Amino acid sequence: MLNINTIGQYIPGNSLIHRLDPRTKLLSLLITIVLVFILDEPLSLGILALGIITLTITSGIKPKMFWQALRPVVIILMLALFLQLFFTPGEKIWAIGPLTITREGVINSGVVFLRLVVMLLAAYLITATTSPNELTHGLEKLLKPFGKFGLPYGEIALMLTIALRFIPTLTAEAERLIKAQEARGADFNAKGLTNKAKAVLPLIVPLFINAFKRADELAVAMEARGYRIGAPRGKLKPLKFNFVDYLIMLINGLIAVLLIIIKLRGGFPA
Amino acid sequence: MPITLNDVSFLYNPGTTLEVKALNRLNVNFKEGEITGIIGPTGSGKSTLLMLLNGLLKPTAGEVTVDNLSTTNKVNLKAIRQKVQLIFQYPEHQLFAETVWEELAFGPKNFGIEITEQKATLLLEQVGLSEQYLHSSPFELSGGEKRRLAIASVLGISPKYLVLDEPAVALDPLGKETIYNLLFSLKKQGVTVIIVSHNMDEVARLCDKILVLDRGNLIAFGDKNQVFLKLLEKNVQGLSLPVYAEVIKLLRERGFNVDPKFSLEETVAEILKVVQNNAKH
Repeated sequence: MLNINTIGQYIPGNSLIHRLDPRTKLLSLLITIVLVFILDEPLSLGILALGIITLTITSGIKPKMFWQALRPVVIILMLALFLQLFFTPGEKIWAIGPLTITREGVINSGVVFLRLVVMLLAAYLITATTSPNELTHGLEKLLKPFGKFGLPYGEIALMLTIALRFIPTLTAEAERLIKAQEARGADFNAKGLTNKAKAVLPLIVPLFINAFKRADELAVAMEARGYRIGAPRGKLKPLKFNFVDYLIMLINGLIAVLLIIIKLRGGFPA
Repeated sequence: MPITLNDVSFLYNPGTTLEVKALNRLNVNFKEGEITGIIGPTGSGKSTLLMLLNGLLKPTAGEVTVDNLSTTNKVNLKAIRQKVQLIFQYPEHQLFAETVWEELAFGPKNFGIEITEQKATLLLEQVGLSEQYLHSSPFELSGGEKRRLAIASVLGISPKYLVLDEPAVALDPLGKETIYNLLFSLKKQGVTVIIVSHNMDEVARLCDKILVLDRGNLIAFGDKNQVFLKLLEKNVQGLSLPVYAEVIKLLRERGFNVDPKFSLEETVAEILKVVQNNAKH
């Protein structure tokens, strides 16, 4: 079986973060990502990282689970760290053969590392604590004001819902097909580009055919239930901001403003 | 020694919060040349069991051996997969080649067996498909024909054991009949067949042995009639009985002295016995 505990997997729970309005979470994510790019000091980024890690722990997701989900990106993280560490020109502090480590290199790699960690954890946290449905409803609501300027927010939300809904289905389907073709002796670990391309053919062709068939069936099912693009639609669970949501947005905003002010005034006092 | 399961357990995602126990300490010995039916409610571990048989899954504990080759040992996998062919539910969804012939040749080629045009025609004939399909696209065939093609595409490997998940589900009566006849003729050729099915009448008709699973536990394994007798006494939630067994059960409940039977002929004979007895008095 494919490891189902990957990035983007929703992990049901009942923590404070799970219960927040998805819009609160999306806006907080936006603030975090903007902050990550504005801030360039290890200390302020460190504070941010610490905050996100604390939030992840309070969400009730076991450290083992998020380590498993994030493990695949560790290599990319390490690569970024390595490149920054050795290839930043500046004041030399250490040298092994042709490799030199500079002061600027250490700071830069720290900054890059913290930026990536903050963004990955924040994105992981939001998808892990928000069901795909909530996520798209939140996004739809947030995009609605842009509808005046011609943004097809309803369609965007629908496409997102369908895409998110079918990721696990298609993964399961691919998994099943791999098993079926393996049983027929197919070797998906073939060497060489041509062989590799040939090897995936028995997987890709049926996968596409089935996906198109599914899309057809879905369209028929939706039409049968009276779906029309742009028709006014009710919600099973209308989104509502609570006191906690306002509070959290306020805290987030304050932290962001504070960190930006500190940066504008020349960094943390030494 | 054919396929043997020795104290086999299987867990999905072991050690995480998503851990699911699929099979619990199974000991089974599949005999050669027989048709065995695996039955059990949804989620009882039937599909997991099938994938253990050809090494697509490795047991979390215990050992599965095929002709004394352990599936846990990677070196044996190719040999095991050639011996044990697994056909999943709706195998028609796995077709991909441009022509029927290429589809038939794909599996055997992976095991180093060449399929000539003659051999391909023979394979088609075996599943009751006309040879004129040989050069057409598999996607032009009807649903039932695609299913039979998918099965034929595996027969070219000449498996010793054939494992099928719901081979006749969602086929029309004629399509079902073709599949049943195919399985009977394979049995005659000495192929050991293992099927999973939810259709009790199908199991009653096809199988020699029956294996009952419930939530990962082995409830019963043995000769068809013995297992059905056991199921008559003990109800497993989510499992029905063959329709003939239901008829006999009702007759017994109404006070008629009939023996439990599980086929059309035998049931009719039992009913006739009652009718003739009544006529005498």
